[in-house]
Amino acid sequence: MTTREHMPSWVTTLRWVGLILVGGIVLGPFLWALSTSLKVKDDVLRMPPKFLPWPLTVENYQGILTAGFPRYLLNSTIVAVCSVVVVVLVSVHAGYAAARYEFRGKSAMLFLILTGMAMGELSTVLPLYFFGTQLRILDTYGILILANSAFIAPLAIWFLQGYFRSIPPQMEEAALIDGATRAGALYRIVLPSALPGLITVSLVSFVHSWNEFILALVLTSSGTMRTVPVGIHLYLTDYGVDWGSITAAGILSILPVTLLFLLLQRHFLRGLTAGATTGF
Amino acid sequence: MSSATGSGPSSGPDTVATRWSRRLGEGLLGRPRGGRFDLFPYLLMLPGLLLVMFVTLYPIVFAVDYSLMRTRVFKQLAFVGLANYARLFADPRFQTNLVNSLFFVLVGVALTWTFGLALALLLRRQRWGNAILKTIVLIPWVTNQVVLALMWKWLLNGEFSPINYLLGLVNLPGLNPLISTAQALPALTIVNAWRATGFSLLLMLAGLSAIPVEVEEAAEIDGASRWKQLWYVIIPLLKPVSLACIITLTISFFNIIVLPMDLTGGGPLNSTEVLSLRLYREGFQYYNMGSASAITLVLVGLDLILAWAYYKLIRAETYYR
Repeated sequence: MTTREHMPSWVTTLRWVGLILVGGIVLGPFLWALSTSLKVKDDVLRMPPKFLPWPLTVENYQGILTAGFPRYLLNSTIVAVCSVVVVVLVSVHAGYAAARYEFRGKSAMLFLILTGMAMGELSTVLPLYFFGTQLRILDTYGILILANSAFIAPLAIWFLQGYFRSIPPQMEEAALIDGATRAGALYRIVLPSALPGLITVSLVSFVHSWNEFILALVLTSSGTMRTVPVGIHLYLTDYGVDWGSITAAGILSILPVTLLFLLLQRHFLRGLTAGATTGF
Repeated sequence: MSSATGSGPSSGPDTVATRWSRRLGEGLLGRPRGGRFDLFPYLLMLPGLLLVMFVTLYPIVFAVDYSLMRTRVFKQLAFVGLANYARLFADPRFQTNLVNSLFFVLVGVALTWTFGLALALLLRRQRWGNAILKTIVLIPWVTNQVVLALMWKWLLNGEFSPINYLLGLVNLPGLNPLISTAQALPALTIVNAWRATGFSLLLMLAGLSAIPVEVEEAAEIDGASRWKQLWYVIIPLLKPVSLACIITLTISFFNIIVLPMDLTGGGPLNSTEVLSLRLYREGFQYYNMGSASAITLVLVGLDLILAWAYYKLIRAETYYR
């Protein structure tokens, strides 16, 4: 470490104090929730508080996993996975057209797509609810998948068109000269080399759909159609203060995304910053 | 301005795509051959465009329509012009909603940006510990807001909060901000800034890594103090990425719903009821679709103005490259 040579030791100490302080402020609430979820009932509201869960128990987890929670997990998984598929299908094509073709109305179309990034989910709940009642598709996976993928599509298209532009076009050119169709060039030549970009888009889409709340709250009504965030929200309002179960549900809900995030951080960060640092 | 760059009749910007299609010669991929109409790119674009318009154009048309009507749930009773808007803006509760939203967004974005920049300056060198902390700070941003709300609801409650216990150990008075009309909104704003700091840290790190080392070295040789370097060199050079960060956060904060809904529920006494929460209540608790649509358009209007500024900004940036 060369830093030690020109850094007084108190600066190093201060830096570590800073790092630990920030880490504590960020992780503290999560650790408290984790600790609570592993406590026995009598310890949950004990004063003075027990910071470590002892005696340790998994009964809170057993409790919610034998109640409705597995169904919520299943629903969230179905909605998130299908939304990823729809987003990838749609944004690969639109992104490719934006990156490689010039055509009349292109910038207008791109602008229309971009305005999607400015719409909040909340601004669309009334119309989508109305739409759902008219087509009788409220309380189905279909409308959740449709709405979720529509919200992620602008960012995905934006990101992928930038990604396609970073792939040199010579290979497609060669394939076309060899007689491949234009669609064939896209599927067989471009997509394989765009795989890292597709992983990024899939990840960001998955996390977005997994965490989406307001659409899932409004567009579903039956207990068997609820997703994880909505389920926890209803625990919070229906059962009041069973903090052990609620924190257990919370920890289970953030586990999949946190694991995905930690494993595939690099891809993830590119997607998160894509919306803010790249342009057409 | 347009005459400076444009050479052809369609004087669009010299994008990467146009440059490449020119390099490719007469339209293997680029422009249609011999000026014939080429359907292919439209077919590629269409599904995405339709999907997005389902959550942009359709809702806006719907909201404009309903905001001009007197309604009973989804039934339109009579055309009333701008009466819904007039009633809203004259309503003291709506004025409170607006002020709350402005406080929540402006203070929240300022805090998030400041935290992000401070952390980025602390963490930008490649050192052991920095990478781990970077990851940790991002975790709240990828966690769903319901869970964040329930965690903080407990940590900020007066009776059983472990924070108050720790404060008590060092003889400090306990906190109970969520039942105070004066403290609830600041508390909500700070929790939200805590949540979003990871995102702004990420952008600031990207911005800092783009500043050449020589620039800072030159400032140091010229004898600029650390603060002067930060104020006169680093912050101005971070302007583009800061603006992108600020606009993205502003849109996202205006549209926030779960965090206020589950952390404070708009209370006490509507002191934390922001525009988005009011919209939800007008629509799904009072079933007043006319008012809800009017609020929707206020919100969408704010969003679109910001997005337009963002788009202009990004375009301006691209020209430099």
